[in-house]
Amino acid sequence: MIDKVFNILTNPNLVSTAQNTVASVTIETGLKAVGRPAATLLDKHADKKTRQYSSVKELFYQILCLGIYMSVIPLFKKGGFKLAKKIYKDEVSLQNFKNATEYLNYHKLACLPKEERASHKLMPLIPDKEIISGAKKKISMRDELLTKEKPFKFPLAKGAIELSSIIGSVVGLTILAPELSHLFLHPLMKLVGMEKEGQKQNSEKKIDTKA
Amino acid sequence: MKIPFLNQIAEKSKLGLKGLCVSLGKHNDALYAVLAIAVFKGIFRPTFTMMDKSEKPEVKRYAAFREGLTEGIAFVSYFITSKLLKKVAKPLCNAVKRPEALGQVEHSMSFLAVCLSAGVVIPAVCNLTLKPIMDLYKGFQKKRNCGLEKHEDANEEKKLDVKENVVQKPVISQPVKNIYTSVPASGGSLITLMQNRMADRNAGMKVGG
Repeated sequence: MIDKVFNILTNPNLVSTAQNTVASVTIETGLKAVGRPAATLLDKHADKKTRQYSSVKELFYQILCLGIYMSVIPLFKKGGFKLAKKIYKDEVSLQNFKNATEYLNYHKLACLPKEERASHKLMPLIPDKEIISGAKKKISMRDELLTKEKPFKFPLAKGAIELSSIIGSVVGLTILAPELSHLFLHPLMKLVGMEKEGQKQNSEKKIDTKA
Repeated sequence: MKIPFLNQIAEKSKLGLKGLCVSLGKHNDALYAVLAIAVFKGIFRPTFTMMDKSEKPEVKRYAAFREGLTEGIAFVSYFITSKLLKKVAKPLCNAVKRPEALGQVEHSMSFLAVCLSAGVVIPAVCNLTLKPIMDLYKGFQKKRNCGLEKHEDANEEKKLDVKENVVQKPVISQPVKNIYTSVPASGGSLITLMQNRMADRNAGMKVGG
């Protein structure tokens, strides 16, 4: 039993997801979209209609947040990587990759066990060029992945993407999503018949003070 | 034009940023992003609510406090759940005799803690604690409002006092009757006649007094 739990926890996919800001925030928001409406429905402090209204509204809000987040975050990732390349022109770890996508493909393969890399669908996307480094012995990116058990992961490049993803997550989920979601939230609520014309403000006030 | 002081600051911040990036690249954790989101949501959401001009100040204060409180609960829940689950990582690695995998297990545990908090812990804690805390807050707000009302009443009373003392309606005097010509034809005694006369005189004296 403990072995099984250990194997799940050390699964390369899980470890990689756990260290990926975008993946973890996306999963967290998805869970919020399920957990919060469920908790609202179970809350016995409010009456049934208010609970239903709140939970549907919360569900739509979280789904909209997720959509807005997913559409905003690639801009931050790519922009962050470009900016890091400009700031650190002398850093070989950043100059080895054309863009964030190329690095992320490389990193994903580097996290897998050696025997799984050759047959992976991402392998053809890895450019067959030499890695720029201070070392005398030159090695290509593909060889680095195919021959080494633990290939070099270029932490500066990974960190630049993660930092820009964290900034993007904060901007996307705390500033953009709440503002933009209001544009769609009430039409959606009307569409499912949870809100009528002119009822918007009253119902909002009710829920604000009841929960 | 080059300013050495600014160049130094730029160099230092570049180095600091590089250190941060390398550190995140080696040991990024799911917890960092969600904590950052909770902190900034806790700041921005109440601020946006307070900036809304269409609502009453009381409603805004209530909503802003609730939002801030929810994010506070989220922050603490993420942090505590992650710490607790990470503590399990070491005994687990020791049990399977793989101590070298501690880092991986800790990262996975942290991610699971974030999922557990988002899906179960935060909604449950909010359901249990938010209502009583908000009731307390409501009570506090009511008391505060009562205090303010009393204060306003006292001010109004004072204002009224001042009004009463300062502004007085001028009493328009009635024309003095010619008592000698309006003597009642019957039943009018000398005493009644004298009383009427005095009353009219008193009324007349009030003008401008």
